[in-house]
Amino acid sequence: MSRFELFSPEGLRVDGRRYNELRAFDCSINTHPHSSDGSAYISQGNTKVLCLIRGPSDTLTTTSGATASSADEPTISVSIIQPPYATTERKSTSRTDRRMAELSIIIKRALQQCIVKKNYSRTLIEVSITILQLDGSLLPACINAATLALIDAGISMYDYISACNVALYDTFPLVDSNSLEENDLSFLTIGIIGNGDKINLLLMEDKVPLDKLQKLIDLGITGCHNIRQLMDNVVREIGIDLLSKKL
Amino acid sequence: MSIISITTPVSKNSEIENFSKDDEDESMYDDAIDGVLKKPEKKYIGIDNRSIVTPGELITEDATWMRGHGTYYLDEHTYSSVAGMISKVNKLLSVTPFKGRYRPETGDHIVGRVIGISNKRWKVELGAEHAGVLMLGAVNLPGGVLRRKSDNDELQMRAILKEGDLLNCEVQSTFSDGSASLHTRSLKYGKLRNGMFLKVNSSLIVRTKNHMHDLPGGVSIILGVNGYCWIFKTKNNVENKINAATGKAESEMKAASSSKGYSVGMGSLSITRLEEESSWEIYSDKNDIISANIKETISRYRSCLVALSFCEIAIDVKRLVKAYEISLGYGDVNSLVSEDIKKSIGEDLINSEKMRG
Amino acid sequence: MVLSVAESAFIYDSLVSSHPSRPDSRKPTQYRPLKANCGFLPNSNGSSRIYNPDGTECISSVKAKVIRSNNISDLINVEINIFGEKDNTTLCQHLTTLIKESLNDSFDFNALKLTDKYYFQLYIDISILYLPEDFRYSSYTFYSILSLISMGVYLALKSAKLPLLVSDKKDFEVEEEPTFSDDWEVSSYLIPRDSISTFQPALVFIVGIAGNTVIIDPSLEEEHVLEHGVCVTWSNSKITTPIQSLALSTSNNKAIKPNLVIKSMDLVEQVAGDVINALNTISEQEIDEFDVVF
Repeated sequence: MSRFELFSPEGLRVDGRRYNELRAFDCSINTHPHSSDGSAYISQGNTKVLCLIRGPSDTLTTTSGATASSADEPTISVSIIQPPYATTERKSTSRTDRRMAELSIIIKRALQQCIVKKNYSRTLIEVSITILQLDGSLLPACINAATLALIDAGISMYDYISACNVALYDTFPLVDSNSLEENDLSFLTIGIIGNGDKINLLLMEDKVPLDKLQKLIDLGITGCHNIRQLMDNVVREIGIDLLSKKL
Repeated sequence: MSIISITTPVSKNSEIENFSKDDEDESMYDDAIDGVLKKPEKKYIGIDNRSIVTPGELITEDATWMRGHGTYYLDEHTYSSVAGMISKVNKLLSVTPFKGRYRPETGDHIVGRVIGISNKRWKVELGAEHAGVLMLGAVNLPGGVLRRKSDNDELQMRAILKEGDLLNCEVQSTFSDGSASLHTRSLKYGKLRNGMFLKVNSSLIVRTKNHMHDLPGGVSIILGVNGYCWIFKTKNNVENKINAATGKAESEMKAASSSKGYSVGMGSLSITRLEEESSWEIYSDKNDIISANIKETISRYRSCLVALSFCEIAIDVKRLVKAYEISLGYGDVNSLVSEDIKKSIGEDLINSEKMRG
Repeated sequence: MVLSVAESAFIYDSLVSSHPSRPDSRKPTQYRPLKANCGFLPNSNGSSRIYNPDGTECISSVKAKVIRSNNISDLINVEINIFGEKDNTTLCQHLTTLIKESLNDSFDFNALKLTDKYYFQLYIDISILYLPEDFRYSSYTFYSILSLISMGVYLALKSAKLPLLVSDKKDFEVEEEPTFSDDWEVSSYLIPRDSISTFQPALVFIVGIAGNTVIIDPSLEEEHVLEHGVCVTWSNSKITTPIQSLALSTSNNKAIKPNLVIKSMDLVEQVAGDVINALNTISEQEIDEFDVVF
């Protein structure tokens, strides 16, 4: 794919979106009621992620050996599994993969900011994320799924944390990038708590001209707000559904 | 009846997903993006009981409310921290999450499982965020309550209760972090035998005055507030016990003659009765002889509980008995395994309740 | 999960009595209601998701790759990833070997033959998304999930589709790689659905033994009190190898009487037909691309 085709002069991207359009966003919560305290499934375009949460509990031990150790805040343990079938070309990712370990630390830090800590002293919250299918925007999908799973688990948090990727094509920022775009363009990940404009998570690993950064961040924040709204709609709908069933 | 049933899962939220799909289509248009963003800014003057809020949503700007669980306070505004329903009790404002672990409250009658023994206490798993604590001093020691505790008792704690044992107990008090201190200092509490255990969602158990019930068919049940249930063979001398506890020696004599037996302490005052009951026997691991009939009744009640929890119907003893009666119409116990039958038991139950009004 | 002494005695006594009754009131031959669907991973040739009411869940994927080989034994590759287990533990390896062996014995490799020189190589990846928490730190040995994994693999293989070959089948003289049609509409099933050339991939059954009772699909509570377990393989309408004794839990482990092994095999013979039928029905249900699986 030549670089030129990623964004046509008419303003269309490889998959026919405009610069500020998200991919088809779909999510559901409470997908695994028997196997977790909270669970969520999210699909952003062809990226599909499943998140299960166990805890908060003080008797839980994770496989990595983490236990509820901290006296005044919850211990959060995040593990990401990418099965070999997640990518088009089969690829085995070992459990000790550096990139996954890095991502899980980033997710853990992001979640720590939005959980109301004082309610969960001496407990462990285990977040396990499975990537069913990968097509760009991995970190945002993981964070959005984790947020929904936390809400499903009934864990107190200040607000939703939503995230999205923005790629830069020449002078145009492109929101919610897919893997084709991420392969060839610089991109960054932005995470926002609630509807504010303060950035809680920023990950930029590629070179970006400094004067374009503001544009990227602005579009990223709008994207996050949209995602938050979409997630909130689903949570609310499920709530209304539950309410109507309560006897 | 089929040996195996494999079905495709039905997405519970299929309608909801359609809804979100419509929504996301809208967001495809440039102009719509601002529309999605504009949150309806409501002034929540009269906060509606049972209205739904999600994390980060402003509940009230009125600072006079007391803030309970599920809320947080920022710049004189009260926000929700969970997705759930607003509940107001006097001036206390809290949000009850749709889902979540059991939160112990003083006086709750619960069932728990011992998971550890340490320094004069047992750790008891309750399905809550924190394991409960049962102090050595909070159980009836063998040989009566009036006996002093000795170092010996501390050494043989494992002979009283060990890992895996199920307990019927009450929450004595709760700590600031939400963990519970338990006690079994009553004859109706203690170690569980002669039955089967079942876990259901704690939110399904209706809090009532009494959580231990005798059911038709010679079976009793403890519906723990934490969702842990124990179905067991009714004790023969249950009658006696209640009387003993209330100190009515006379009626007890009557019961004794009817059950054709007399044991030491029977007919005397309650205190001696307690001593007798508190012998090592109450910590025995051995089941009584249970007839096949009773066993079948136990598993039928268990299947009915499973069916109720499968249909997410709030569980109380009346409904359980009703479900049991309905289930008899479906024939053999093992036909109750099928999901269709569980569903139709739930539907029948709801319908019969509607009929009665 | 540790059961109390009284609890396990109650379950054990019910199982070994002359009219065995199981804690969840199933018949000895009865399975728990399962949920499954296939073909939901667009990146794979075939896929399946299957789970138990207790939450144990298995996702399987089959991916095909074209290789130039004549060594039939390495055409099927199996990789199992269990949540909470490290890669390549002895357990994973053991399960992998069992599944691979059972498939190698039952597979019709003609289905994988492309041309004179080229074959399809299958990669079967299995992830166990969840094991009940009680499972993780106790006397359980995990072997009972073998039955679920095996059903998952069966469904994934059944739903697997391969693209249509457009180049010549006889390429022994030609130096050119096989080419395929881009159109998935003309793809064919890996396991043919017509009655002549079809075959059944192996299914592994787990049978629990307590006293003189043999039960299929033991639940967690049952496994705790079982004296032993046996895995029996079924393929192409008969019992085949591997047959193995597997301790399902270490808490009440005892040796098995020979007649019980035979009894377990009889039990499998009784249920296998129904299981295969139920699985086939599921694998024939085409799922819509936009169906939400989760």
